[in-house]
Amino acid sequence: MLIDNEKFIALLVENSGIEKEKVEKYLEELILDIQTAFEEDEGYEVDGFGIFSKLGANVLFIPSEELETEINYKYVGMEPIELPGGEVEESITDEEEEENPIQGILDGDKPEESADEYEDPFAELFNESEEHEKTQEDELPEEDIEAAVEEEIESEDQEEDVFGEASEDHVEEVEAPFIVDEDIEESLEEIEEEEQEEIISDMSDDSETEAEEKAGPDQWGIDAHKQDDQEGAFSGLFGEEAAESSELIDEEDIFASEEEINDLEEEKKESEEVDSEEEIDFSALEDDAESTENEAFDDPFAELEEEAEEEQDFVPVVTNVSSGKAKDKKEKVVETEEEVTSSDAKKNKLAKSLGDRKKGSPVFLYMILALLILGGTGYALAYFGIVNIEGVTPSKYKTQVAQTTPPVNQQNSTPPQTIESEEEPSPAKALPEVTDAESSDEKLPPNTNNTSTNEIVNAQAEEQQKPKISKENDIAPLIADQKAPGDGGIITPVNAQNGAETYGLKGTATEAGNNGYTIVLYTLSRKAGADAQFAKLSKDGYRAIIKESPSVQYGSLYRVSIGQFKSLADAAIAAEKIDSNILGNYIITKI
Amino acid sequence: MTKDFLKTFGLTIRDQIIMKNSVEIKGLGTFKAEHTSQQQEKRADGKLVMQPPKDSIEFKADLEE
Repeated sequence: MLIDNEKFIALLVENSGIEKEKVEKYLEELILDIQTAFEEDEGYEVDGFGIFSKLGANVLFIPSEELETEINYKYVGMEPIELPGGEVEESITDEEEEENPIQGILDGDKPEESADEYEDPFAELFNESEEHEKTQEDELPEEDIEAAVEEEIESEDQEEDVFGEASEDHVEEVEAPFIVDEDIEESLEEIEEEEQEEIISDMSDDSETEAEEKAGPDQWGIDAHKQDDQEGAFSGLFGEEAAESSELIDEEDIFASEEEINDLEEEKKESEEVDSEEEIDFSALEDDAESTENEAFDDPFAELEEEAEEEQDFVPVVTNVSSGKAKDKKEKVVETEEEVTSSDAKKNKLAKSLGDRKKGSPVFLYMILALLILGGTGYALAYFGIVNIEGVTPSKYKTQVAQTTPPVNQQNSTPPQTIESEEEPSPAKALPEVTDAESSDEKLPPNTNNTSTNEIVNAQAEEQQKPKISKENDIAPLIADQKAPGDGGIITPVNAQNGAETYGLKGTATEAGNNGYTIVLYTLSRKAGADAQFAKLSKDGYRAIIKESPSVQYGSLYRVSIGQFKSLADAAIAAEKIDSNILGNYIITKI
Repeated sequence: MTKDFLKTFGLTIRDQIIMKNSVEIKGLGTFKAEHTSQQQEKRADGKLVMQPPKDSIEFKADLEE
């Protein structure tokens, strides 16, 4: 309905009691003031009504909070409420959140990423040690092969140098005046001849010797490398330290070779290849030592010889590596022993490495175990709500604290005293029907949850408005007219006949039907207006109900509704059949 | 123009809006009631919330002309 300017002036005259001419004058002044304010780029506020403001060419009206509240008085007490669907989703998420930690603790699904990291230390310490050994065995030959190849190349160069250049030097050295023993001269001559023959044979059989040498250094490299690790003394044999320690090793070579000189004549040739001066001097010293029988001097060498005998496996290998001179025959003699010792050395090395690990492992083990225990206990405390940690503590423990704030839970809002409250889930099943009814008449969103929550929202709002209403007052007859405002409750008479239908749209309201749903058509602040609507609806045959709802702001509000329905769906279906002129903006609520 | 007039001015428009009537004031504009039904809203936290119905005032000015 449109209230034009004349009607509006008439209403102003009626409500204010001011003469019409003055009202027209005041109204013109008001409009002029507003226009003036707009010209000055200012707004104009009518106290208790709102603000007129101009933004560019547009004029806006911003209602005051009082006006906003007053025009929404019908919906007083209604607050946003969480829908069941949203709660279901939350519950699902809560379950997921609950399941994940459980799975994380029990099944270990969650820390899959860290599973490998978790297993690694133990695997290295216990399980994967064998694999690690295998990998070392696999890796070592490659390194050793490379080292051996380098050594072989160096040894070959040195061999050529020795045999090419040093052979002549040997002749000169043999002819040198400081050589005393004739036996040595003879032996040296014989050695020279043999050397020349061997050089010729070596030159012809380079390919064969190289093939044999390639097989040799591989094993030497392995043995030397492992024995270095075993002894921990010759770690730099492959590097620059080899040259620095060459003298000592040459001496050891001499010790090793001297023992074999007694057995094989060819070893003299090898001793000459090392260094003729040192050998000669040492041999002379040894001869002197034998002649003088100086035990103090012999004992160390004897011990060294004994050690050399004991560590015969170790010394030749070191000699081969450090001196860089191939001793084929010696290798052939010792080769088999080296193979045996190399395997023993590998075992010893691996055993030692395991021993080292086992020595250091408990610290890491204890640390890891302590961290795991601490983490597990912390997680368990958080999970069971003893300690509140966001992301870990399940929401059910959090909500117990936070549920005191609105929005209120739906189930808590439903009145427990009625039997119908137990059947509340049933409307959800009939939601599609409700959806059609509501969407066609009220332009509500076509979601079925709307209608179910409509009732719940309204019922909750009403419950909030009359929190202390007893059941007797709910069904109070017309006597309730004499009640003081604010008591609330249904103030319309009920049909006390036994044969009356409990629920329905037409007829007279029954006491038993007050636990159902109704269609609210009006919310009025004056009881007279509510009574008028009640009389009109009753005259049309509708089962009309007036329910008084106390309001702090407005005093008592009177909600006029029609029908008593067992379920929300029944109310929605009935609302579809009612004339839209009667319905207006209806609300389905719980009675 | 008195305070009583301004108060009556506001109350009269309010009553007509409550009764779903439109009020046309010549030289100023037209006030009209707008009803917003109950509707669902999905909040940023994922919760599905039912907003209660709401009535509001819509104003269309004549002063723009």
